[in-house]
Amino acid sequence: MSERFRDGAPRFRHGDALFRRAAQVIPRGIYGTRGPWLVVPGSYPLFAARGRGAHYWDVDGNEYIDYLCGFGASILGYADPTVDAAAHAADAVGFGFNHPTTAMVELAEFLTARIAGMEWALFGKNGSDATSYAIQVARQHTGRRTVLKADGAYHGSHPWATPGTAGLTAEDRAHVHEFTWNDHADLETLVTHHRHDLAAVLVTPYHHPLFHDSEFSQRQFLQRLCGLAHRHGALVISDDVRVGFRACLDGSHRVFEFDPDLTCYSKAMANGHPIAACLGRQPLFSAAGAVFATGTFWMQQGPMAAAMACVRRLEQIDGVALMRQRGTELIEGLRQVAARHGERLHVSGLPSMPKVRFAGETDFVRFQRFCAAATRRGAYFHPYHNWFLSCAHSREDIARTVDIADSALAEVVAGS
Amino acid sequence: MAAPPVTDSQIKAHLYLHAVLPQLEEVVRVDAAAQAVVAGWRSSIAMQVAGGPGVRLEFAAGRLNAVRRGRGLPSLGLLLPSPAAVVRMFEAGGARPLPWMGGWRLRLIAGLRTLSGRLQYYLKADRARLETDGAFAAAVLIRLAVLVYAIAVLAECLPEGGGVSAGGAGDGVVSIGVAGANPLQLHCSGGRITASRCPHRRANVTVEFADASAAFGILSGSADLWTAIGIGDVRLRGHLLLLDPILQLMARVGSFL
Repeated sequence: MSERFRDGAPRFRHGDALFRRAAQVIPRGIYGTRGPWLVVPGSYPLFAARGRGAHYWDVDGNEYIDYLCGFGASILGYADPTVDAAAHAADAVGFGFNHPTTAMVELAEFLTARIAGMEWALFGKNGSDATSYAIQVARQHTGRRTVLKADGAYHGSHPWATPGTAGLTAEDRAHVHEFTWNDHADLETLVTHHRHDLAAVLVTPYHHPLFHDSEFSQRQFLQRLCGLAHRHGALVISDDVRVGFRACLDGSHRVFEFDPDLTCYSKAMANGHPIAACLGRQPLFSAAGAVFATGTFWMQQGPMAAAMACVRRLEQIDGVALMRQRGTELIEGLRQVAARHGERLHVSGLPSMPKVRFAGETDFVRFQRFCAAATRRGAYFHPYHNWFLSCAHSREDIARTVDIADSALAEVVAGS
Repeated sequence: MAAPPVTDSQIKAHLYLHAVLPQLEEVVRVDAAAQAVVAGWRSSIAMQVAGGPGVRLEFAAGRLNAVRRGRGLPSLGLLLPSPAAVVRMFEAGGARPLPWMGGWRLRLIAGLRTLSGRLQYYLKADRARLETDGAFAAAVLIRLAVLVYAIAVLAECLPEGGGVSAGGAGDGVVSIGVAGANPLQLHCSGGRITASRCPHRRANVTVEFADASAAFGILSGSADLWTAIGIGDVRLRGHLLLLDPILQLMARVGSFL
């Protein structure tokens, strides 16, 4: 193996061998955003072995304090005993039946009792299932085709939404158009142009595009967006897949004060167990039922039990406040470290899912080196994606991470 | 602006004239046999497809500069009747261009034939036939240059569709090279992509091969790019978002060349 682009340490001997095996039988070896192309091969692990709390270990036994948390899925920490016990107990009686179990009804009741304004729920496996279904419901309800989304916003990997270009036709996105986040005039122009065919405006509770800073709604952007869409007979869909349960437990739209007709969840809702949900208002109930929605594994009870256990646990420990606190401590510590090295950090988004970069750097090259150096030292920092805190991050984890960042930044500054 | 070419032959003609033939510049720079041919030349050779693309090779002081259009009459003007004739000439040697200017300059015609042979050697020879490390390194850089220039040509030629075009690229500079050698650059701006041999702007994203062998594996199709990234043979740095349309175009090059 070439060592030219590696640091020379045999840190990933098993991981590298496994990747070579993978590359023989799996396209790209590891596909999608978890593939090595999106990090720094040689500095980042490629395969996980096990996890507990805020820590995980790769197949070579290297340990990481994790700030990606399975792209947000791990909200209570890995191998949470309460959630996993609920899932295992539910599935222990057998699963994959011809029918759903009681858990599906219980989860729908559980979520509609909590998520503000939502009165029905339907479940899938991934965020893309939820957002695609929500769009179909909106089209069915309005009898229109056009969907508007913010430029750069990620809403899943289905053809109408994927940020990739391979294997698509122009028709896949023929009725999806983009506006600039926080630019009401741009949105208004687009809405006006498509007003007779506008089914829905799809938004995240705040803008968190890959490679870019996160942006909150400014000048009542989301409220005005809802007013504009509703005035023209279109629906508003909140893609709460990434932010959901980190901003608050009853729908991020409550915290960010907007008024969606449909909301989508996945990622953190069952602490990593595979489930997604689309929730909606009562007037959409009939349209929701008209849309054909199914998947062989969509009704498995284990992840549903896990979702209820997860949200209950978050309620018990006030998980939202805990993650906000730890995130604030992390960012404060990193800012102090950066200042000691003559650097400035630019941080955006929620403290529990901060988007971090060096101030003044737009191409990420030095920040990539910093994240790689930190990850080699045991704090997993993603160079492009927003980070995530979980409830399992302890004060000791944060303190250790800040020490690691100090050492990593010293390496970057020395190499500049 | 002229309508982009739509047939495979038209696209290939653009590729051969604007991505492949310009790499004679590097051949003349590194290859002793080619240098012997052009020594003392102060001439220009224009190659033109009737109603289609053209290229002009300008020789002076032992160096070659390939441009799309030149000034004044060339020393030797060659006409290819159709894009298909260009394809036949490059792929099967089955078409001879018609001299419309300077047909009596037999030394230029013979010299061009030798230069083409040397270019073919660097483009087609397998590892065993690239006798020296120097020849191998040169072949890698020449093939890499063909690939990079071909990406720019395809961005210009392919019809819009599925984002596999220059229109899908954000503005910025993509650098592609082998570690330790001067990289090539693709400049993406306003939906257009242009290739450049001399890096003159700071790249927003870099694609760097660990060494010539790593690059040769990708360029010859014996290695997979994504695997190479995973095992550290290829390093990506910077604003990776710019890369997706470039990689899509790169993947299309193989279906034409």
